[in-house]
Amino acid sequence: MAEKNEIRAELLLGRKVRSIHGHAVGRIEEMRAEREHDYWVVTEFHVGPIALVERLAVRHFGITLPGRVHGYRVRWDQLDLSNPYHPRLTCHLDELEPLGAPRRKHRRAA
Amino acid sequence: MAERELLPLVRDVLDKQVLDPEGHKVGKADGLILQALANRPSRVIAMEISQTAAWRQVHHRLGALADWLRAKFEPGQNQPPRILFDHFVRGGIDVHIDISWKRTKALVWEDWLENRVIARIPGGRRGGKK
Repeated sequence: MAEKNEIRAELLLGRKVRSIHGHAVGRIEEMRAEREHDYWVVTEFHVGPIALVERLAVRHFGITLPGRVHGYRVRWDQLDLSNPYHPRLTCHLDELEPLGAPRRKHRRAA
Repeated sequence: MAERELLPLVRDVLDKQVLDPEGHKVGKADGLILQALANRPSRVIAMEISQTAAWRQVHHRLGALADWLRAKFEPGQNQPPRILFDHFVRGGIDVHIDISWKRTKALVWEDWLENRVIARIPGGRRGGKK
């Protein structure tokens, strides 16, 4: 039996992320972890079709459509996973980093 | 300052072949268990090597059925085998861990088959080894 605070990463994959207003933002396609002391922690989620392209490692074939943002880098504190089947943003869409843009320096909440 | 290295969990760990330090195949990393923490990023606690996790990705009912079958018939185990993420060395094409396959209990079916079936076949006491 799974613990109550356990989340299965494989079940998060492909879940549709909704904004705080309920609009669909994209699907979770990738999770990035980084080492924090002795542990690995998930610090960001990649959302949207570009994240899928990145995950399938076909990014360099130049599969993009101009004029639109096709993926976001969502920091761990910008995503509410209290219901893993219905992940929801905790911030406004314009606060998210588009994928492919230079990484902002402060990825963590204060 | 160099940017911190991020591990793509889905691309480099999930569904990848797990190898022990001697290169023995342990199984596929069918599942990744995260621990949700309050006001902290989720911690990656374990990799799960089990058909249950693989079937659950297809459909949750198939996962539940596979879990029931596992609990009913799997020899000598109550929980699906998990490898703590502390043993993770590196990912990529394969996932390398720093413990031996013998300590993972991931090959319980293979052991059962060797002891109960292969060993009873004439000449099969040594598991097919000459």
